[in-house]
Amino acid sequence: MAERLLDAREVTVRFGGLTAVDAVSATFDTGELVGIIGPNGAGKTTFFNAISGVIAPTAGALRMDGRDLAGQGPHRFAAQGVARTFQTPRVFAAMRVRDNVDFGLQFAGRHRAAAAPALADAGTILALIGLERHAALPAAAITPAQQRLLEIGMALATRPRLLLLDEVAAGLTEAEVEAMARLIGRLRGELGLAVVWIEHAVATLLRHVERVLVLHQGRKIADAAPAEVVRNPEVIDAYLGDEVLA
Amino acid sequence: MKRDAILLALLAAGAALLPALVGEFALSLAMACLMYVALASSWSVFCGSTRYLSLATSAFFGIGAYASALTLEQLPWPVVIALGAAVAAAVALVMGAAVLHLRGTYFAVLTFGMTELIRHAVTYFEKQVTGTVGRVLAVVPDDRTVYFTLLAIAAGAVATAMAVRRSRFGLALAGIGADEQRAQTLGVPTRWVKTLGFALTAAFAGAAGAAMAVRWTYIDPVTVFNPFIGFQTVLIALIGGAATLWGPVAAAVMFSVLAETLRLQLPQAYMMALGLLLILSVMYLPDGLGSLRRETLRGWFAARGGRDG
Repeated sequence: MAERLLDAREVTVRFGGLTAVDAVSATFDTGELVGIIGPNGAGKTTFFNAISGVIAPTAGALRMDGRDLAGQGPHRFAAQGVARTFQTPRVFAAMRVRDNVDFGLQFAGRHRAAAAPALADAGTILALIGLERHAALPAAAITPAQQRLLEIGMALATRPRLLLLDEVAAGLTEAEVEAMARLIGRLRGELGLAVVWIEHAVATLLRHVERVLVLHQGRKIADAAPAEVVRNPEVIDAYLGDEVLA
Repeated sequence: MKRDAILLALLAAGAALLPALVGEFALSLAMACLMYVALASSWSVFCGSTRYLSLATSAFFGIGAYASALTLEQLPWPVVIALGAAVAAAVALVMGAAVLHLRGTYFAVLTFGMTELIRHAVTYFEKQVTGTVGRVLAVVPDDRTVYFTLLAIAAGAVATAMAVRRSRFGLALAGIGADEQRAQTLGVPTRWVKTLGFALTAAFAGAAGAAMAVRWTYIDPVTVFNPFIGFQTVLIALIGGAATLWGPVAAAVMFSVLAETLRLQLPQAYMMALGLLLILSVMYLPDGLGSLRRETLRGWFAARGGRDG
């Protein structure tokens, strides 16, 4: 039986006169792999920022375990088991790869039990993301593709229940994208995490997720299985001229 | 880490022998060194790792000095010093809560502004309430007591810097310096960590101020809230290398010796030397003297050798 992790209700984020996220409601359960798609400026990353505490929503509720976390800082979300990556990798460049992973274990991860042996320590997490050979290098010295993996490793070190991935496959080669998709599949399958994955390359995403949220101009216009979403007239309209869905 | 502890113990032991060996002038010079070791090391604990550039050192120093002046005759000397530290830390907690959400230049300017505000508030209070601006400290501890007090504060500051570096608290500070928001998403309660780090820095500045107050016998806000104390602390820490443990210590000694020997005879020469050293260190050693390694020197000489050959 899947457990309800996060219940986002009518989440709205306004910047001055611009409504970046407009009353979006969504739920995420354990073991789910959910995609979020939408044209540029649809509010995907802003929605992530809101549900990870990076920005406080202007209105709406973010319920976890019956408590509303809206307006609290990212460290409170991390403590509740929400972890995220950033579109542009934000690794601690001067620290070693291993210390980057260890950081999360020292803070949010410290108070949470490891859900699986793979999250036991920095070594097992590095093995999971395939960076164990680079453990002693400074994070600045590894490739951008490896930094994306490291971002995921840093997030995993907080021992999350809900993992938010923001365009982790952007700029990767075809083979790297497939490897990333396999890794994400394992995180969901073996660790039982709920994974929410934003990707600009819609076709890639639709192949791997079982549910997809479509955002358009800050509003949620669809929330269903990929096969259903691609037939949705409103979605086709939003993507009109974009051949990915055709 | 163990080597650092041994080095600190040796240096402190060496410094403890000084009063028996040297005269009054050298001892007063050593006190200036210890004061800046305490100020620059404790400044670096917070500001060096988080890169929050605080100009409020003179505020905490001055608060410590006033706390000392007000209670010197009523309380035992160790309590006076502890009180100076505690009052400065308490002010830092309030100040930190108000300004630590700002970064970079805004933070630096606001800490400076608050320092001026505190100085003027003290001046106003003294004029209105006590009817005098300065205070004469009639009964003061002897030089040796003050020297050993300053030595304890300076050694305590370096030992604290050492302990913080290997603690989770130090890791949190380093994470804030590298990418504050990222650190927060990984579970660091950044607001708390910053405020506590700021207060820790202030406690040492307050203790140093409390100890130094008695050296002047007459204090007024202009002397003890002198912004130059804050600026010089920042310069020493940056030139020495605020992210390193021994850089600020070495630079503090160097500067105090320079200051005491040059300032009386050639005040302009001292200020020029200070400026020149800052420029050189920013250009050639952006991470400070403490980051100097054999490879750096080899790099310089290799470049020169290449040109010559």
